[in-house]
Amino acid sequence: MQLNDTAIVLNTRKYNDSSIIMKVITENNGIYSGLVRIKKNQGGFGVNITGNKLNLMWRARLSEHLGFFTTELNKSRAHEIMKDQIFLSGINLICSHLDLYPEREPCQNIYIEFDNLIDNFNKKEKIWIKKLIEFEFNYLEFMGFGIDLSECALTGTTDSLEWVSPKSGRAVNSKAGKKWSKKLLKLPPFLLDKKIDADKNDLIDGLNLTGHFLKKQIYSDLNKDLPSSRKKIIDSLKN
Amino acid sequence: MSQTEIDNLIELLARLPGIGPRSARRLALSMLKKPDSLMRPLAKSLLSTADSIVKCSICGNLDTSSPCYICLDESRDKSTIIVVEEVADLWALERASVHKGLYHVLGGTLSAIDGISPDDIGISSLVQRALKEETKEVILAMNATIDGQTTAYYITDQLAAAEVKVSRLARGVPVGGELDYMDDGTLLEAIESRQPF
Repeated sequence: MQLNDTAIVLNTRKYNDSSIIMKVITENNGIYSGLVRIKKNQGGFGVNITGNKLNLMWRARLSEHLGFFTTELNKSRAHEIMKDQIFLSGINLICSHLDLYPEREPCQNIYIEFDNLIDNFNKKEKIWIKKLIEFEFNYLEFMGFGIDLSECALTGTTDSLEWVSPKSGRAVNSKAGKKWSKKLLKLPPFLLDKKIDADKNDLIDGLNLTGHFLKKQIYSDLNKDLPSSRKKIIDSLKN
Repeated sequence: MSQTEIDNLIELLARLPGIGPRSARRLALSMLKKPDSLMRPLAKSLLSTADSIVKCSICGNLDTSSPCYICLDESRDKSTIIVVEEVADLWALERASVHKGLYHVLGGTLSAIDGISPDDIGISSLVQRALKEETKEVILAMNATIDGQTTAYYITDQLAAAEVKVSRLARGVPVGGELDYMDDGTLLEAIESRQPF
């Protein structure tokens, strides 16, 4: 068995003195894990680091084996990620999410979105956090727990959608939801129309919305808390 | 010694890092050939080390006493603390004799994926040490990995209340390194941190 693909490193774990187990998201073949042999006397330390884009070859005798990776650096990005705390928290957050995604299931859309997200980090603007929320929103859908914003769950209208039901994950109209406003989750306008700019409060609302469903549908089933890097991003918006 | 005991010895040796079953068999055989000159002294040394080694209550280093010999050394500069991930990192810095101050061993890094939180590593004890008046600088010598840098940022946030200078190790071309074999990230860091010559 052999496959060649472009991939982004999600995480690495030390296996022994001379090898690591690396998890990557590939462009065409989904998420893969494999063993990478490290030659400490030959350098190449900056290659297999989270966020870096690699030209990858995976090889195993049988498809169900863990297999070995041979890697070559395609685009170095880890050093950029390490320079900014929000960027670092964001990448940590995405990698934690993707660690829960089933392996070897093609997920080209997630790969493209993740790739764009790393390439377009802009620490001066909040646009990047907006894209991060959109990623989480789409990730929920890929995992089978999409939030339905097509129409109001109560009236069937498509206008003035302002809330999301924390139980059903369906949008609720501003008038219809007024009665339950304390229980409903605020729907930031940029999730309905990507062209709309987001302010600080919209971003916090967006993170609360995706955070609620990530916790409810994915993390609580695995007895896990949401990644702490998420809190760091919310705190950065509040300060 | 019966075959079972030899197998047991091989199995235990094979658990050591960098030693596989083949190497373990070779080591065991080498010891069996020299029971008095090698095997008994080694066993004695292993036992006495296991009985006496403790974790330093101040810095987390491994030594025969707590506080360790570094923390007790009066000649060391007590105003500077280098923070490292593991004891092996402390040993590497000591071997190079590049730091005459104190150390703090965290015993790991924060990891969202592995579920390692600040409570699992020695960050709170570091903050307590940094709050002491004698501490002037904390040098973060974490690995240049995502987890290492996440931990470094977290520590920097935690040390905001303490009036200490927080610095990190430089990144760039290693001694003896050839530029042709460097990755783009390291080269960029090296250019950005260039020094007057």
